[in-house]
Amino acid sequence: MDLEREIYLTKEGLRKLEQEYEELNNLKSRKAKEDAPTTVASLEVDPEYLAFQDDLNLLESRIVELEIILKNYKLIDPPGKGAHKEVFLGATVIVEVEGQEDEFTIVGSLEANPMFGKISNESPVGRALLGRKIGEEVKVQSAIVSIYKIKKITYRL
Amino acid sequence: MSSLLDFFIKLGKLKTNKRKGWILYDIKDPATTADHIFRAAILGWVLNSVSDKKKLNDARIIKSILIHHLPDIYIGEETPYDSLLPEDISSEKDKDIIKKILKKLPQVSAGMERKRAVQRQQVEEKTFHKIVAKLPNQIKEEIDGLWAELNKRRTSLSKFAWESAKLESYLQALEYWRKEGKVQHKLWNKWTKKNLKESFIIKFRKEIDKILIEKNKKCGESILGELVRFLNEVGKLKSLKRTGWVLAQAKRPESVAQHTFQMAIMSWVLGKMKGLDTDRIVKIALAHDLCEVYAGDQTPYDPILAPNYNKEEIYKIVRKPARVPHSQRLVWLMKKKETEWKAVVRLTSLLPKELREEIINLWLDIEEGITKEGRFVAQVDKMVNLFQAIEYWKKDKKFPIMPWWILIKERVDDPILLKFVDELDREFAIESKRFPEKIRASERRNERGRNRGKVNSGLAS
Repeated sequence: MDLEREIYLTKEGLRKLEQEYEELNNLKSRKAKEDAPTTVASLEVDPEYLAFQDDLNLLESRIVELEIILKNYKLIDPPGKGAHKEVFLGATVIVEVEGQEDEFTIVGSLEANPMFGKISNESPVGRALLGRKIGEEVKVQSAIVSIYKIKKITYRL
Repeated sequence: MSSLLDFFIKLGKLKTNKRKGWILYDIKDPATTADHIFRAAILGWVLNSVSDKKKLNDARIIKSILIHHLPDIYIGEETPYDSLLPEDISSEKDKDIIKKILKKLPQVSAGMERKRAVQRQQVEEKTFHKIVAKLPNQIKEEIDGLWAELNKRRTSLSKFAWESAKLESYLQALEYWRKEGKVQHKLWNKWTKKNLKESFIIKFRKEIDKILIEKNKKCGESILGELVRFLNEVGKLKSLKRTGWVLAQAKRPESVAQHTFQMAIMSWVLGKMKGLDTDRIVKIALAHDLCEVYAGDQTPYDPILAPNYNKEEIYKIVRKPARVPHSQRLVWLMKKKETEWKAVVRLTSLLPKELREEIINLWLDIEEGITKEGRFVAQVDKMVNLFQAIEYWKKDKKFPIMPWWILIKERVDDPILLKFVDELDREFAIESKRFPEKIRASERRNERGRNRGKVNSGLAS
């Protein structure tokens, strides 16, 4: 866990990690008593926990990682009503880029999943959008410059 | 970062170097060095995991195999026939001469064979050090150590790794023989019997013979038989062209195996710089696209591409990033996840339990981001795509590069990878000249500072 970076979590992300922490600790106790269920590679197995069933080191290191996260996280709260026209962490932003529309929710690195529309606040686009307002055009610099026009900002957290 | 970029560009040559032996046999679309390394690394890994002897360090086997052809970047591959071959092996007029030469094992005295091997080793040694000379110390030391061990072949691990790689070539030779009939399989068999000495490798070679030469179906039911079947299936990734490049009409699109090879080394090197567990990283990288044996290579363009689109219509679409409405994208992603999960379960279904679960777990790690290594390799995957897109664009300026640049800035947030992307940015700007606009570092810093101030006001701890 890179502790030099801030750990930002949404309420939903926090709930999931707390649940995972509890489940993994239960799994660890069951393994200690040697009554952990044996896994079978089938579609019935919950993939989320399959990885830990037979790898104690992995299980231990994930528990330690979760402890660090749960001790150091900062919760993403929606800003006050007056600030809803500005992009803060947790905002869902509809943008127009190169003539196409897209929707991003800006989250912390741990919850980022760009394919699902959740982009990290530390990614160049996430960073560029933060602090900007509806109607603004945000330039993301690289050898090829792309311009993101902010069309709508909502907070669904 | 520039020394790394240079190293990664050189690595790319192994993806296009068609293996000399297969060219001699006139194989259609022959495997490249990178294709071979990809499956050899998997072969070494899975074979070691079912070995009846004391288990060796599987990640070290994988890493040794990943680097064992590095000198070929400059000096190409050698074959036992080299001293007998005409100068230009691709020349039409010499085809019959080559065919004749290949009909028997090269008749070279033991003394001459030894002399040639020593000469080759010296050249390889020199070339290897030239290739890795400018790498950062932490990674150079590791690669140097692996190379020294592999080259001396005195430890069990180095012998196992080296023979695993040879066995992959043998497996490929038999597959080509069964498919195209052009390979002299009996000579290959004789050669492997003479040169492969490790007992478990010999045992596995015999299993390969039973299944591919004797066509004994019952053997496939043993553990080693299942490994042969698994490796046959995995070998399909050598000829599976990556869909993104095919849609973008890249000249000579890379295979999934070639991409995996490059990704394994790039994530190993960059992961080492970040202080991550690179033993886990190379395995995650090797496992990450195995599902594509059955699920194929799906792309984010799939939901918006109609089956009746012609090449021009597709090219028009892939010139921009695939922006699919959120709900439509979610449906596609869930379906993709399910197809790929079923595929990886099917591919590994008959492997021994421990190995099967290890491969599935590693595959899940990159999919679900379970460990920091899994999350890192997932981002390297995106960066390798941009890297490859730039390589295509360098060769053909019509290649639609824009979507890869835009998406990388949305998808990567790891500081080390962003530094590397900056390096790519610089190289790209120099190459293009058409995009001279570059933000000054000081301006960028000011902008970041301004954003951070605004971010903080929206937080509660």
